[in-house]
Amino acid sequence: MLPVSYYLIVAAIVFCIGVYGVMTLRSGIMIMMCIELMLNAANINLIAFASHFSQVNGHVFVLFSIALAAAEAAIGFAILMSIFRSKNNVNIDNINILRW
Amino acid sequence: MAVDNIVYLIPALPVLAFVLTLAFGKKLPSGGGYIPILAIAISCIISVLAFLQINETGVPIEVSAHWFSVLNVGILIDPLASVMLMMVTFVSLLIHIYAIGYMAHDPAKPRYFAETALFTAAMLGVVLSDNILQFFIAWELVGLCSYLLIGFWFRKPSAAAAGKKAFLTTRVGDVLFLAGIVILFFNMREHVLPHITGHETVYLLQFSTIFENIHLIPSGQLTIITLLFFGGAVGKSGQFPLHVWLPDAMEGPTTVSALIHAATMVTAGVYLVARTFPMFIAAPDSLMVVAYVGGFTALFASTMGLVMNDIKRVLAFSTISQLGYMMLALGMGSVIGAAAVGFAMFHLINHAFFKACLFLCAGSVIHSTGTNDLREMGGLMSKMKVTGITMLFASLALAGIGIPFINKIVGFPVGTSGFVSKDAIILDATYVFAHMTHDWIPFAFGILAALLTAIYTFRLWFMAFTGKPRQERHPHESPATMTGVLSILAIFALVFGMLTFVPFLDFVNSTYDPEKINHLAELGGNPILEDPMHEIHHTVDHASPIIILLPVIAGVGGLLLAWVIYNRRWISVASIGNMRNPLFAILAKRYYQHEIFIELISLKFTYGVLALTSEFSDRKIVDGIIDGISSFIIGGAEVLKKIQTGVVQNYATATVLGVGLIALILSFREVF
Amino acid sequence: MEQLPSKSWNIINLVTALMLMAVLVFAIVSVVGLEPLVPSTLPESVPIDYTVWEDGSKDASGIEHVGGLLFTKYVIPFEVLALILLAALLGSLYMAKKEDE
Repeated sequence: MLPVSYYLIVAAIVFCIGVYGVMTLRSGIMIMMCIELMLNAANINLIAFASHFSQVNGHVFVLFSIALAAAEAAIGFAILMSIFRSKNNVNIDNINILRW
Repeated sequence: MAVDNIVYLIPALPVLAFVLTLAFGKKLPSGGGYIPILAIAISCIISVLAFLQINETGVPIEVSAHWFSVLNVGILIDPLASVMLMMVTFVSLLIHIYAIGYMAHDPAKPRYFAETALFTAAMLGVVLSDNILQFFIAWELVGLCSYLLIGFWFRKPSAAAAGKKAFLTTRVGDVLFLAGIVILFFNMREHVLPHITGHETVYLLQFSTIFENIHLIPSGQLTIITLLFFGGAVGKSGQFPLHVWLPDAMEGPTTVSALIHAATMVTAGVYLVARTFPMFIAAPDSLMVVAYVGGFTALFASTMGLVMNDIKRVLAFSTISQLGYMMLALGMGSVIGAAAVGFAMFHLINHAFFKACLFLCAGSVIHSTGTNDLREMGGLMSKMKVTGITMLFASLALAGIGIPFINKIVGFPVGTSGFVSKDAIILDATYVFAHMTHDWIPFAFGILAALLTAIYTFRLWFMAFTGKPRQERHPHESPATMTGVLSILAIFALVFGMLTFVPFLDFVNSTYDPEKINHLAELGGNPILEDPMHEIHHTVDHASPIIILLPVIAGVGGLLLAWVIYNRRWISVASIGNMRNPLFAILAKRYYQHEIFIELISLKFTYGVLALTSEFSDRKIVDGIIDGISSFIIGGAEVLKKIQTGVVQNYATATVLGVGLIALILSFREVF
Repeated sequence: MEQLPSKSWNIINLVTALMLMAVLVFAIVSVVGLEPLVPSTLPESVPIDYTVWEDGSKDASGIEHVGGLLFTKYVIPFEVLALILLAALLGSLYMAKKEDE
């Protein structure tokens, strides 16, 4: 067996890639994808520990997490649709009315 | 019946008169003038009763009530206070009667009578007070009434300005006086209070308490305190350099000038020094200052009185000069002890009579001719006989005309009261002083001032009453209320001094126990004569006849000089008496005091340097700091606000940064 | 009026992400360590849910086990999740609908 920390490090790297993408990418759809990345990184964490300690609880939790990710993605894309309707593009950069 | 029970009425009745006149004066005949007259007459009677009681029993009247902590209010009538009381009430009464006639045409009569009643009450408060704090309170009230009365015709700008000038100048003196009281209080509390074991409450500022314990106060402090007290007297009595308000104070009605600036208020300064005389005895340096300032003022003011053309201003400078004589007499106390108080007070009382008479005569002249200017008067003697004769008597008194040497034969001096009192000061005080200490300067001051006094006094009389009328005016004699008062005052001016010389001095000198005075003088390092009056008589009797004749020569010589110049016109002063002559110009411009005090000190120095510097530093530095802090914060905010871009992703960046930092800190704590 | 140019924000983002990664990796390495964690080091008191087959053998993993747990121990979250999915469905339908004029 590989040491569990390897899996955790992979999950951390994926999480950070997702964070970077959320902070940087201009398009709303890309941001949604990066959010999914972050959720998946957390799932990797859960599975790594579940498999390491031969437990099933982790797998169940991942199931819930995936379902919730799907729900949240649906809502997110609905919001993106509203934005697209008013601005005709999904550049999150231009939504800055609340600035100084 | 002891007078003690009713002495509180002496100041209380005029206060009541003030209130009543102010409230009801408009409805009463002659503006409610009879209310103060009645009140002051009763006060006068009570004062005489008090005097009789003290004269008989020799015990001063003391009435006192607790105020708070170590302070009290009370009335003290010892011989010194009782003569002052009688003079103040009597002269005030006469001047009120005169004012009924003088102010008859003035619409603001109730205000006038109310203010003079209040003034009389305040002056009586000064004379009667038995502790120095109450003295100061009444002193301030006197100053306030003086301001109100000088600016009586306040719609005239010069009168309003004169009132303000008087108040501010005396204020300088008052501040010094108050500083002296505060220092005295702290000294009393620190040095005296531990020694007085109290069965009963002891009042720290009461005169009796102070005088019994002077030996406990350090002499350096005592000198400072007495100098500050003298500073207050300088302001109120118009000594150099705070004399500048008195000539301007002639803007008020003439009766005000007579009451306040001849007889009563300006004498409060002399009374202060006389009242606190034991303290001055124990600090002989202050007495020297008193003598020199007084003597210098006597000479200084009489030089300026020579060139004035306004009848009241000549008399104003004369007042300043005579007050200088009184201070000079007090200053001789370092040699002659408590007798100095007697001489000064004697001159004070006599001066009150003849100076009030002079002012009231001037008022009569102004009332009838309608002008103040001497150059427009002349030949009034034929039309105004009573005024002319009374003014002549008063002028003789002011110039000090009398017959020397007769006192050895008859037992009392013969001459006008001014002669008796001025002679007493010049011979008995300054000559004895010079004889003992070989310091001839006070004597010289006295003689020179006497000469100049005689010159300007008779210049005034000759210019006003003799010669041809210079202008077309129709003078008439004044009504009986006015001339009656003039006559009474003139008679007093003539004979009072003669008749009361010896008993007066004995009476007033009994105020201060000679033994205690000697003890205090030794404290000051200046042992004085055992029995002053005896020594004085001895010295004067053995003086050379020239010395004794000198004051009379000065007086008569001045009279003759004035007669020659202004009546006979054998010598014309037109060539030296105009502005091209530099000496005359200096005198006429009053030694450029206006320029020095106001232009130089006030405007250039105080305003230009101090005020503008303070304003600059306040505006630039203080405001600069505040504005700088605020603009710094605003500038910082302008920079910091750029963080809020409104783009959600940047907020996400910030969140992640924060989380990372927290994780870092926590993990570090875990590891280490 | 003026926004920070995207270039500087990009740098900040990169730095932030790298920092986060460094922190996470450092935390993991320092807490968990790099050696394989032997399952036998797990203390006995930690309960493990085994599936017990008919022949008595224990199995700690497998999709049957997941299903079993899902409908016994975690049935309430399962039902709630169904409701959440329903809500998400309805919400996104409503929000994404075209507006009628």
